[in-house]
Amino acid sequence: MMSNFWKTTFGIALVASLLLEFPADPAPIHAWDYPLFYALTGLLGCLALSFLAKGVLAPALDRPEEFYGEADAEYDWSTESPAAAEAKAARAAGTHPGAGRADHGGEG
Amino acid sequence: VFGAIPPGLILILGALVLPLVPKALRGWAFLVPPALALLHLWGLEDGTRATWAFATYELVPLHVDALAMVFGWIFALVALIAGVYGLHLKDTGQQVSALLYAGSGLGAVFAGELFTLLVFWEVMAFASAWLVWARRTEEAYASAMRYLFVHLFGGSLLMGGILWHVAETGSIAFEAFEATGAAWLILGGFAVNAAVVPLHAWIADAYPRGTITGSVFLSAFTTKTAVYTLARGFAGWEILAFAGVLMAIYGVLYAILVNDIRRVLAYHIVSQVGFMVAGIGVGTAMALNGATSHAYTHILYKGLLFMATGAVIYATGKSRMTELGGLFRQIPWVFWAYMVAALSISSAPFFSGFISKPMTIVAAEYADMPTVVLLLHLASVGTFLSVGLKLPYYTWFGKAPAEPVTVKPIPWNIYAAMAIGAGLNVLLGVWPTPLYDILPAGPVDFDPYALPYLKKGFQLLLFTAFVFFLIVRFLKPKAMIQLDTDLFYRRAAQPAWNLTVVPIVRFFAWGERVSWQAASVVAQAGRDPVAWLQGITGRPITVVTAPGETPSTAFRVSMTAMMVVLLGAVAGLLTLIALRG
Repeated sequence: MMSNFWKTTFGIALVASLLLEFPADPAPIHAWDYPLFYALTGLLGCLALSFLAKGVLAPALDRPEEFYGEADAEYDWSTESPAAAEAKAARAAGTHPGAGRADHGGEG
Repeated sequence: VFGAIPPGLILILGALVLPLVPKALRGWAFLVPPALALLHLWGLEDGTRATWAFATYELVPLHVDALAMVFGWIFALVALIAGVYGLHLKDTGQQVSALLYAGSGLGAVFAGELFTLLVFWEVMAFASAWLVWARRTEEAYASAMRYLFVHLFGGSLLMGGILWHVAETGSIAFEAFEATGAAWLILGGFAVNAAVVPLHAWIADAYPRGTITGSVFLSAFTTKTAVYTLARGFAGWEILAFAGVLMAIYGVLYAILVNDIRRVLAYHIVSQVGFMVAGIGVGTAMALNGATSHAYTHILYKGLLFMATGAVIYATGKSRMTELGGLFRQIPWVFWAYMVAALSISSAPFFSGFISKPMTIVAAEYADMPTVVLLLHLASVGTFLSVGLKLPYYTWFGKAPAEPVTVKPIPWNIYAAMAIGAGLNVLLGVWPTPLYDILPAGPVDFDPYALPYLKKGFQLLLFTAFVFFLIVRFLKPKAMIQLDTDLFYRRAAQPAWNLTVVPIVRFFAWGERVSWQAASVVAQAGRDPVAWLQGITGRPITVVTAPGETPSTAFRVSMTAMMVVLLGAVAGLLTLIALRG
């Protein structure tokens, strides 16, 4: 998903950010004064939040999009987006001419 | 420039004049009032007041001080940028309500007392609801009604609190509140607009349903006006520090789950306003400066986030991550504009959030509130995770969805507005001095580019990104919605309807039936009293007429008159007895 160039750049940045630990705080008081606090917060925080959200909350809170009975129209962007308006028109046109041809066939 | 005119009034007058401007020029005319307001702010001096005698009170529609000015500047500026973003619009209603909304937001921050504040507060609720209605879908209509309902509830709390406060103190001045019952009510009103959990669900409900341009406006004014009022009235209330932390964490957790790109951003408003509310709760000079500057940068980057996601929706007609993906080749510049904003909200070094968010957190460190500090750090991780990584990954990269996405060209003005927004976010990130100089709580003693803060900025984000790329599949968006506190009023709507409206409607229906029946009885009795009496007694009454003859009209009239006199006499007698007794 990432090219080797970006992977290498990212790796170098990761290591470089650790160099910012020097010089270390001579007299740490709080947790955040200790070396690597922010690196670990990033690592563990990201894992913890992802797990909490996807593992614990999602099973309890996820509902189908129709839950409040409004899935389709909520995502109707045809009043706002030319792309959606065109797609909607194409869908409408796609059904109507088909029906029209069938009628013609019947008459013929 | 214009003397002591409230800057908000310029925009509100502009909103009234705008419909008269020819349609072709209306987009450009929209830019005039915000530009004039900026010009006006340039000349407004600290301490300027305008007063207006109203009944026995002295209303103050304009009161200029440092706190109001910070919000005034950014409100006028964002109205101008969002105006550029909406240049292509051909929707008078939306343009008028956007100006009215921005104008009442400006009006609220320059209001010198509580009555004026309340008036602008309510105007803001209606004008902003229109920006959701303007989507013109049934769901948007329903959502805007819920939005309005919640804000009118908040407005009622505010009004109740203000009236109580005035009754107690006799003053309508808007100053720091003592902890009285009235102050708690007012706080409740402000908390609704600040989207304080659990009063926040309206934001995730309505903002993703607003129009593309409308939501850019929405992201700027309502919550930040509330931040302003909280900073003025409730600085140092410790409960706000914890409410803010709760908001910060709650918002990021939901943002990891949701699928709609603008709903992700809406939950991040809850989260980011949480940082500001926490700063106000900490209440030291540095914390207040941090909260205020964060409100300022937040408006810039959140506006840009909504502009970029809006551009995606404009181009593709899709708004769910499950339907997007692989767009980088087609709309790369939208991606870069988005990433400037995403790095700003994540407070990456050299972007706007970096000069404001850490100030709030460091202020909490100095105030010795380690829990607040740690949880705000955690929220920062979550911010970058969902806005900075997940959303852009699944929109511009990732796997293209099953149904191919067609991309339409985006108007130049949308790009122009995003370029202005991106430029300002970077400029402010590398050169914070102009903002630091106008902060309200005294001179700023904070250098964001000191080594420890740089270390924090880089490490926190890079290591979050590292984990993200390892677990990216685990975070894959799902085509689901998530329950939130709006469940209670959305599901309660039907029972509440049955409980309140239905009995009243039934009662009136019953009343109508009864009165119609009574009227028809009287009509029948009046038409032919004899036949009517026969009907109720069940016995034929002998009427002295010749056989075969029906009673004459004269007879019927005289009988009716006699009945009326008789009944009148009885009624009069009863009244007399009642009065004597």
